[in-house]
Amino acid sequence: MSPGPSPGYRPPPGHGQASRLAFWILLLALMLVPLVFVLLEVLAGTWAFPSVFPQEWKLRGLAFLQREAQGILASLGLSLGYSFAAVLVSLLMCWAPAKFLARHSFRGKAVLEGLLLAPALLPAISYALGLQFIFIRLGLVDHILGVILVLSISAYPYMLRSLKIGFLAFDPRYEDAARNLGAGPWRRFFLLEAPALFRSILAGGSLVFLISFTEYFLVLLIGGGVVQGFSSYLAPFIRASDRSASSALLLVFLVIPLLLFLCLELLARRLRRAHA
Amino acid sequence: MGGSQKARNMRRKLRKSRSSLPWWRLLPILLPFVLFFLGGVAASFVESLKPGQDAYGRQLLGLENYLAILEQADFTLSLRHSLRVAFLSSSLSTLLGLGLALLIQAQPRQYAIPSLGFYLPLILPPVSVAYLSMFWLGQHGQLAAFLSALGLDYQSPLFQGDGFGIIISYVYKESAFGLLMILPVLKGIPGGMTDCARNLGASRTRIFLTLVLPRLAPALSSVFIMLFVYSFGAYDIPSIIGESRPTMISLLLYRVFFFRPIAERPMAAAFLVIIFLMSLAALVLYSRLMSGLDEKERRI
Repeated sequence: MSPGPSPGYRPPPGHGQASRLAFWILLLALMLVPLVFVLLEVLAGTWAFPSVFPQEWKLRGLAFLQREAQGILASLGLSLGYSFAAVLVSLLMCWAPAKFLARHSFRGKAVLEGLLLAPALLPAISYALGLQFIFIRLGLVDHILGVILVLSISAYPYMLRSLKIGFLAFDPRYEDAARNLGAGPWRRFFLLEAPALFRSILAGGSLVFLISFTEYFLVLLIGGGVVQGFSSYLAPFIRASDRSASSALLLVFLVIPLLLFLCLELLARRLRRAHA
Repeated sequence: MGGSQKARNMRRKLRKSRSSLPWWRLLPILLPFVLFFLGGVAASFVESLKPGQDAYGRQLLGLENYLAILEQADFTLSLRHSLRVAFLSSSLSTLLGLGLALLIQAQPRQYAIPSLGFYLPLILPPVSVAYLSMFWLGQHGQLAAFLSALGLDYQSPLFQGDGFGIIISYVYKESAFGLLMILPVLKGIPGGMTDCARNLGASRTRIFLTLVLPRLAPALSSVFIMLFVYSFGAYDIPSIIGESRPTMISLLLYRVFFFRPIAERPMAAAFLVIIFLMSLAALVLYSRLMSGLDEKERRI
């Protein structure tokens, strides 16, 4: 073990070799190998059971992506659009309340916070079917606005918690100082609070994004056949056992959030450096 | 004189601001919460009390809708199946998440980047996880191909009527969630304390059982309940890889809601309210457990 105070409990390094081996075996067996074979399926031509590897290479999955590029890009763009919108809406919904909950304590606060978490913890189906009655009245069904709203409602608790933790760590005296120096609310938001809480926004935002981007049921329920996100586009191929299409779409689904997180991480690093 | 008057005014202002909080700041969240979340629940409750009929044309009113659901054999079967699947998948995921967290925490610091690989299932959409299970574990899937190359027989666990396909898919996705929640808590346990216990001669198992596990317990139980409620009512994975009988409760709910005559709607809404109340009961239990957790450790 390295000298100095350890950052947290670490299981003793008695079986270091064995645990390192277990780490790599699990990583390979659970993550890498399953996905590598999905990639092989994308590059395969004929691959009939019981052959362990493809019998012929023809890039069938890639050909599928190329052939259906228009539909794929359309549903992908729609998914990205409503997911980012849900992040924005949940940020707007949670900003002031998170600040309030972090700064003030009052009777019944724990109960209120517990209640506000409910939409993320309860199964979406248990309240979304009822919500559909209301959305039908409001004309929000089969419309992207309805999809954005229902996704924001089911995922905002992650944003709320994340922002609240951020505000707990943010000394309100900074804000007082800025106000005393004459900064208006917008200036305080963009130059002080938003940069200070950038990490929290990022953490909450990525969770809301991921939940919205991968959601199938809520988009199906509220979007109907009109708002067809990527999950709704993908599901029929899986049901029809179209392996090369399903595999290709799975990888697209994996790569896009990964690229996004990579960009955000780089952005966060640059911002931190700029601040330092 | 004027100065003291000013000070008194200021003090009064301060006291006033302390007693009346700016409640309106909660509105951006309370408005959609009440309107849509509570409104949705209320709408299904109102619907559930309306006159309707059951599948045999029997007239039902009010609470009879609930009784009609509760005495359906399909409902009981489905409920038992869902509880079993939810219990098995969430307990296995919690254990696996804990195991992964311990394994990652035992590695040297430069393993931080490859460790991120274990979070991949979080990014995958549930429908794709279900596909991955079929791709690998189906009767003619990849595992079967490997085994047959070795001359071994293979019996797929999928679509056998006991929900193992759903359980496996859930465990794959949810153990990554368990890891995400448990690892930060593990990192927060002061290393000095366990080092000290070691210096005083405590064994590894003793340190784990008496120092580490009690500090993890709130996180473990909350992960378990969150996953339990999720897998009890989620729709995506069972819709791809679930058996048709016994079926998961979410699929049955969807079916009675959308594929039955409109006269049976009130009964379907009663079904909905029952599922909501059952999940809520689990949630109340969850919040009881959560009250013992630190603000930082709970994350959600």
